[in-house]
Amino acid sequence: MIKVHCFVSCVCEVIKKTDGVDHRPFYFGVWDADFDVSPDGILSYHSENINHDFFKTWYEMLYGIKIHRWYDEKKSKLTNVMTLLELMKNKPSYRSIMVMLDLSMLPERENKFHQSPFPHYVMLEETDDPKEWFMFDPDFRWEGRLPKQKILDAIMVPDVRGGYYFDAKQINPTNAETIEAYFQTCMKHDENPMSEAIRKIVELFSRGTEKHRRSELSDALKQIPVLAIRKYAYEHAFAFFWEADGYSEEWFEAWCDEIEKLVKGFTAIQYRAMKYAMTADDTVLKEIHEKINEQEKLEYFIKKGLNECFEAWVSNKHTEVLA
Amino acid sequence: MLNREELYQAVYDILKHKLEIPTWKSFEENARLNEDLYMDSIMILQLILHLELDLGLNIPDDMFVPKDFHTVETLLNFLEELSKNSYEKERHV
Repeated sequence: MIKVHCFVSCVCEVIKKTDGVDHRPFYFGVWDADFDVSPDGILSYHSENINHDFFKTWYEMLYGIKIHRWYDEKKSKLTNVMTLLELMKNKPSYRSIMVMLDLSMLPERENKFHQSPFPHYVMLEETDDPKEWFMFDPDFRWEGRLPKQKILDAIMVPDVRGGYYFDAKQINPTNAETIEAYFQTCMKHDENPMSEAIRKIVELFSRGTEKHRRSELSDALKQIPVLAIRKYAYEHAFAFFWEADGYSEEWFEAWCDEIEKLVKGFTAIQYRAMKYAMTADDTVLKEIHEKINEQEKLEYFIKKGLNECFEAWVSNKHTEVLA
Repeated sequence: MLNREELYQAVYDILKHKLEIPTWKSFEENARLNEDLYMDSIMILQLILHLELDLGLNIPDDMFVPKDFHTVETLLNFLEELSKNSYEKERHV
């Protein structure tokens, strides 16, 4: 499994480990999950304007687990760290404690995206050694012991603020109606927010009010890779419906190829944007827009295909009820 | 057409002087771009862009395959092949 979304990966981990519940529907909303574009046109996967309330609400509806926010942004960092220490000390075995830290502060960890700061959610547990904590990072499939002080230093970075806990003592098997409602809520049939945002940013830095900052277009789109991998969430949805609808493995593999093409297409956009930022070549600008249009077309095609198998799944479920 | 030694030198020069990566001392054929040279996907794209613009290599962006950018060796294999193909194409024309 590849990194898709750190908050979602953390809360899904306990679901994955439980028989009789399926974590894949929870990924439905991730392909178009919130991101931000700053007033000066910077695309960002993380921002003060993004909260995880949507995922929190649906996690509870799908699995019956309430996610509590323990981090209080109105309080100082130190007060929040004290809250964390208290939570860690009194943690029951069924509780998961999540905290946002700056991953770039932990150089022993792979940091493929080289973001600095790199806001990222992980889960923590105490160990038998008071100077070490066990850090669990399901998004990057990493777990291990690290010096407690190093983790605390990464939490203390001013750019990162956030923390949740949830108790998975009892996990409800999800009913089909809730999955149906969640899919319908998540599916944006008439918009592809990421491609649309990239198009606006490119326009802004090439013909718009920021055209004097053309050479900064590369930086404005620097976080494309972090957002592009969210598109792998489509695979989870196809996998979920594929099994239920009885499609062939080749059918599923063919959709995975389309999703891979979509993710790679964003790399091509990024490359062309970097080239345009450096050369100001109008031919390259035209090629960027061509690729964005191609991406939009491909993503609508994937959404349409997914929606068709969702409808087949709904129809099967209704038949099962009537039988 | 650029030979392997010239391509090796070109990649080294870009990493050291243009991208100014702090790990340039670890540069050798077996070095992994991500794990040993600490290059992320954007830095790899910057490297390709310099190779395209500075050396005139035509690198179609739909040909970017992660395995070609795993080590310096796989990158040089990819570039060598690309350089050979564009030379043959020119000769043909």
